Amino acid sequence: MMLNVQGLSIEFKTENGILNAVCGVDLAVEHGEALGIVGESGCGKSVTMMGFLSLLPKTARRKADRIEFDGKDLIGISPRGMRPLLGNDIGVIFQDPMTALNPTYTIGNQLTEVYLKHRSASRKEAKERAIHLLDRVGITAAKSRLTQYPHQLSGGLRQRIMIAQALMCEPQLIIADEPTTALDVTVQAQILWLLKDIQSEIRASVILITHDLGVVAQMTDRVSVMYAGQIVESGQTTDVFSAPKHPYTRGLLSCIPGARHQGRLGQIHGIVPSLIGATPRGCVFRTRCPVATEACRTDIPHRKSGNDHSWRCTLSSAEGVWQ
Amino acid sequence: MSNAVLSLDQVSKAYRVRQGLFGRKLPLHALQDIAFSLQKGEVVGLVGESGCGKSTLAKILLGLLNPSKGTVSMYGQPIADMPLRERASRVQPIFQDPYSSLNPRKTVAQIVGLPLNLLGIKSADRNRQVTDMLDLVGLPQRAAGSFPSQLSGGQRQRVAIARALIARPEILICDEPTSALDVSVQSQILNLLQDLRDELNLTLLLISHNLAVVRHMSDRVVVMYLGRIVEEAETQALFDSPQHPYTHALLDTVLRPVPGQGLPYLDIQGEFPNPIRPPSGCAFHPRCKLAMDRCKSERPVLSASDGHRSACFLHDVN
Ligand SMILES: Nc1ncnc2c1ncn2[C@@H]1O[C@H](COP(=O)(O)OP(=O)(O)O)[C@@H](O)[C@H]1O
Ligand SMILES: Nc1ncnc2c1ncn2[C@@H]1O[C@H](COP(=O)(O)OP(=O)(O)O)[C@@H](O)[C@H]1O
Ligand SMILES: [Mg+2]
Ligand SMILES: [Mg+2]
Repeated sequence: MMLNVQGLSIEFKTENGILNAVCGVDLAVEHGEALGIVGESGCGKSVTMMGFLSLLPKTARRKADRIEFDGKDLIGISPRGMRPLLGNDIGVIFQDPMTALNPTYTIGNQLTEVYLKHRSASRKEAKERAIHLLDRVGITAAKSRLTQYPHQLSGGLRQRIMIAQALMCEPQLIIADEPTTALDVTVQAQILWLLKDIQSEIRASVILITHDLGVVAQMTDRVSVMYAGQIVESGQTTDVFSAPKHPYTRGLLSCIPGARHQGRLGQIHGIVPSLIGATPRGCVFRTRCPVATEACRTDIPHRKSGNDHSWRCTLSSAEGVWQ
Repeated sequence: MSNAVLSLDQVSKAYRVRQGLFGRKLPLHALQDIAFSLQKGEVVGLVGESGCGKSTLAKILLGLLNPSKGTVSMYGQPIADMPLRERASRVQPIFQDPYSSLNPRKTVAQIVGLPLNLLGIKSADRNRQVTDMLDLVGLPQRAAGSFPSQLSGGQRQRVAIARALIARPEILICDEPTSALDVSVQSQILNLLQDLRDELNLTLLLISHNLAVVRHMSDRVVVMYLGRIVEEAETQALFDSPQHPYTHALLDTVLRPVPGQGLPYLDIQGEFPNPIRPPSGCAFHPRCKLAMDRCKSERPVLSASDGHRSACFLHDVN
């Protein structure tokens, strides 16, 4: 298994009290597989990623039963111990290239730095590799780009540079956090193709974090749906989208224009619960769920069906909800 | 045209922008020869990639910006000749970011009631109308005393809608009204806009880069590229038989939450051009796989057949 995370919980100390950002998350990514983590903003997608990569800020506290990368334990490793892995075995593409790329470095510096750090390569080799990758990610006049700075490039180009940077050392695992959210739709399609092609080319595993269910549907083999810091449903992408079990997943799908043919959009009433303070017992979606009962106040069973499809709900299936 | 609530006649807008630190100012043609109209009670969708001129158009329709050329009319009367107050009472905006468009130091009741102040309505009356309006947009009465920072994104957008509607306008110009919202909040706001439209017989211009949203909401759709309209048709006609290669590509980009459809093979290359140096001929030609020699030198005009307008030479060939 490429990545195996069990029982990951992350809390932040804030002015208003403890914020439970992530609560008991399990993730498993097989070699060569693409996993989607999908959910609305604030549900804990990015913090989950920062959590298993040991990139959390000092105000965070992490607990986990298991974090393994390619069989190697990562729980015991210090953030410093992560450095040989990051950028080398694990390539990360962040949401906003402007914050992830160093504005005072040329494109050439950004790309060759990771390579020189992890490989015993000469500057010339690093530069050649950078040009090769810029070419590969569809950047024309690659050589002349090396001397440019991030702010001189369009959003689409910057996102390509980020991808090139993540790929410099041929990572086994590519993690992309909202890689196309800031881009125009035509550029989004180009970037998604690029990610997909490269994944199959270097047979990497991918974790794609997004709030866009359309992107997840077309890009991933398996998907985990997050709500308020928990994974409420996961399984093969086809299973989860064609027969969603959790009322939240069903609700979310019904809200998307064009998912069903016509008529009024589905609605999830109310708002996301506050994550501050002690996590209440029972289901996190209870306060907004149209089929909630008294039973939802108690511990929520993990249910399973068929091929690795699991969800957390007192109901064995939510068929019939959200007409 | 007699039914047109709002119409644009050959509207153009040029900004002057400086190239580099010491460069001279060059014209940036954000809108060129825009002509279309909104009929009473209609929802018209406006789509196109960022930078194509959508927000500039919205500001001109709201009277916040003057066109460099052309006229905007309301029921045939140029809005430039209308008193500001009258215009504002009939056309109101809803913007993308409900946070930055609401005054953080004012309560919801003050924000929503402000337009009534300006109309000189007495405070008792004002309070009653604000109460009714909060109800109408689905905000709880206790929200009245809250500040914007105490509300969720969806609630803030409801405040923006309440503020826009309080003076009973006929037309709402919605510029990416749900782009900053999560999909479950977006569906609440879109359903609300639909209900309000039916209840108040509003005319809506819905600007969005999200094709699925526009398709769901609109009766008619206008597609823009680099400051010009390249296609316009009834929603169904546009989605069933797009005429312009750019519209084709845009429609293909919609990823539906249905696994197995795969990524689209886009008939489009490269990125949106620099508007300071627009391509010659048809502005879309450098990205168009179907471009012919003629497209590089000549600009196709927007021509109509059966109410479906498009600007492309391919239709001359067929
Ligand atoms: N550094 C931080 N300090 C306090 N709270 C944080 C911090 N980073 C994230 N959070 C909170 O954790 C929750 C999950 O955030 P995040 O993982 O960024 O959500 P998303 O699913 O949008 O990526 C949110 O409530 C967010 O406000
Ligand atoms: N105040 C301004 N000064 C100079 N250029 C502007 C100004 N506002 C917008 N522009 C330019 O005009 C073009 C159209 O912008 P805009 O109407 O905001 O497009 P959209 O809303 O479709 O993204 C863009 O190239 C933009 O950079
Ligand atoms: Mg995030
Ligand atoms: Mg805009």
